[in-house]
Amino acid sequence: MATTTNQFEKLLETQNKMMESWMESSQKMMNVFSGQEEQTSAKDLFSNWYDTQKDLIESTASMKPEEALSQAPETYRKMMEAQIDFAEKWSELYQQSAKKMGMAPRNDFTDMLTGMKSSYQQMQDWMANSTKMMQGGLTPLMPANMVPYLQNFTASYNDMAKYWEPLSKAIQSGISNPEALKVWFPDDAYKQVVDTMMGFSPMESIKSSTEQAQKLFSDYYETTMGRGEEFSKSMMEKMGTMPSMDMSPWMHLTQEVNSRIQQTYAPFTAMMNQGKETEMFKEMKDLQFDYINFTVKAAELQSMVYESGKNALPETVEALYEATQNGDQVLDYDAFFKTYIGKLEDSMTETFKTDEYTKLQASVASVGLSVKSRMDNISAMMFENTPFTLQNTTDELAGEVHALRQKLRSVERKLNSLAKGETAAAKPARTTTRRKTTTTKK
Amino acid sequence: MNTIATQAAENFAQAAEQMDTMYTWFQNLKNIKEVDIATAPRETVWSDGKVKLYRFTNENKIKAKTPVLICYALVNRWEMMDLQPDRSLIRRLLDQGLEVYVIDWGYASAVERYKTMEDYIDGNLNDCVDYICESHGINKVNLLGVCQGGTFSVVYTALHPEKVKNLITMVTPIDFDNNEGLLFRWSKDVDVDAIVDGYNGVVPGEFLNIAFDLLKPMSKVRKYMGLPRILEKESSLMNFLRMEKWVADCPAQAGETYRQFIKDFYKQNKLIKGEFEIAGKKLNLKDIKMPVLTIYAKDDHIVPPETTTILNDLVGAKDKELYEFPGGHIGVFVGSRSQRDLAPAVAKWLIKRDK
Repeated sequence: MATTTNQFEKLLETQNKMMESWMESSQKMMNVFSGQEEQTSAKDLFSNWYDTQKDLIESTASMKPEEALSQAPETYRKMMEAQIDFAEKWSELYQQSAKKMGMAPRNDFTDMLTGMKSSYQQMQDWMANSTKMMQGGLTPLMPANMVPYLQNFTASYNDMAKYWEPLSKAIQSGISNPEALKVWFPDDAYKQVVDTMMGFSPMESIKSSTEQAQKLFSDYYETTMGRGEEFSKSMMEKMGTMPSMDMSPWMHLTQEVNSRIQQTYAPFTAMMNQGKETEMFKEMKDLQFDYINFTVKAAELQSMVYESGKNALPETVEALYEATQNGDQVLDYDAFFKTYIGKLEDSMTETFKTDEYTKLQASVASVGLSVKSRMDNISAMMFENTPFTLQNTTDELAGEVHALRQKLRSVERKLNSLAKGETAAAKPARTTTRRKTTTTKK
Repeated sequence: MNTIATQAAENFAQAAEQMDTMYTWFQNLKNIKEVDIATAPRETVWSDGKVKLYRFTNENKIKAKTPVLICYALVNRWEMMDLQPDRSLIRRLLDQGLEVYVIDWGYASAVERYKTMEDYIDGNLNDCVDYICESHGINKVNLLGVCQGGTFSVVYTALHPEKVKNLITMVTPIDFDNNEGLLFRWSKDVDVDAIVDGYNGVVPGEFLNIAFDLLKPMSKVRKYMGLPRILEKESSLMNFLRMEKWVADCPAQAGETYRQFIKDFYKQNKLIKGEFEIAGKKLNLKDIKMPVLTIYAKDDHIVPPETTTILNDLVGAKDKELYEFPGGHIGVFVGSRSQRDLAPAVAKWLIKRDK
């Protein structure tokens, strides 16, 4: 906390010094201009500005916190841009006025501008550090499995912010043409934001998996058919033409090839000797094919999600353009982000309702779990002669426990009904229910 | 030029405010030492394996001799009913003079992989009812089922109508033939055998959470967007952290129960067709003749209203009511209207029928 306070004070101190310096210079300018009739407008300008700054300093001290962190970086940016802009114009005017009055130009404005730019950077750094510190303070209080969601939110919020400036101009101008918007918010950026929001694997890792698939296919053809080179070349060409937003044809081709190779392998493994090693080999081969199948289906599912949300940005721009034109909405990054995720959610849930998505999602889960089952089986075979309790053993135990519990319950109920029948007044004995009394008081 | 100066002044003022705000956030974060949920005083009065029955201490004047047994879902944890003192349906029911019990199903693991719906309903739930009846010298309890626990309660009531005085269901799926609710839609195509077998008979809570997250895919993004306001007040921050704790605590499901629930209910809708069989008995919802109160949430995206309100058309009861809660699935338990209106309405309904 001390660090934060120090940074806070340091920043305010820098700001105050700059403001004092401005006011001092302004006062000097006013003194210089006094009595010069032709400079009346400039005098008014500085006079007004001086009063505003004075009020600002006084009112700042009495302000109460209301605004949110999410708006802070944007506000700082606006503030510093406005101040730099003002200082530049002021400097220009001063130099012109000084020249008219036969005074020597001053360089301290340049120094001031440099100082302000550096202060702007300092503020940005401070804000970034503070956000990190805020997360650092919050995450230990959160359940560990919720922290990645917070991190994903922060990352997607910040990622999207990088594109806010051009997008805000698009909104102001009412430019909602999807192709035009892609210039400011490219497909890759869109995918990255959606990946982070949804916790998807980045497409890069999918590409890496498809390379594995390609290697598997070409190895297979090299060893079994003697057509490896031709096949590899063909696959490379197909993969090279994989469109960025529509992977469906490629995916279907990969799945088909995968399935065919798997079927072709079956007779080879059937001819092998029986035994643990053969079983493990078969399982590992099938695992490899299932894994490719899973990767491709997962990529297809991900691709459907991307497609579903493609219109969210143009719709957001249209909605915000209208709202700002009507004066119903102040244009800021938070309003944009909120509208955008709302539109994304609406379009995604519409897709989630479709038969195509539902079936594909079910298939991804099914194939993914098949991969897991095969890995479990391989592990079980590998470790069956080791002194560990394996899944199949605990499974047997669970079955026994369940059967025993059912028998016990049946016996218990018979005993209870006997006890009730023989001694109506007596309370029935409970053989399996263990009474335990603990008290929780807070 | 003057406008620029004014703008600069305004921006500076905002920036200073934000810095103050951030300082407040750090202070609030620093002040929180523990995130506690479910703090209403209670006793564990019965247990069998991992299943426990809690009785809540009530120092108010008891206005109904029949206690309320709350049967929560296997998905997530019962603590939602007592999230924090001012957002606790259990505390509000106690305030109204009711005796309250709740079943804690515990955390299923490999030991429970073969545990069936029959084990939960005709076994654990029935044992809890018997215990309460014996303890209070009564023959029937008031049963309040929540979400999936409501479906269990309806099944139990149809199986043992003689043991239930009044039945209350909250946001409970009954008619599973629905294409609007995404869970209902997805469950039609899901390969439940692959899921249960793939997870070696114990379906992890994380798997279920993925499905729940996708129902409103941006809900978490939206939630964390609200953090700046939440951080401004220590009480809001505690509310947020308690909810996070509850959401994160999603127990695994006993595979056989999960398999049966998806197949018999979501896929085949057996309950309302009169085809569901348990403990050797084919259930008929017309056997539910005691008073029934069906509570549903108007904006429920997990259990859409039409999937739950149908219960009143299917039961044999003459005394039956629908209660529409103006909110979502979770708001029923923790919303301010829930505390102010719903809990007193439930208590009033029960006390009136406690003869």
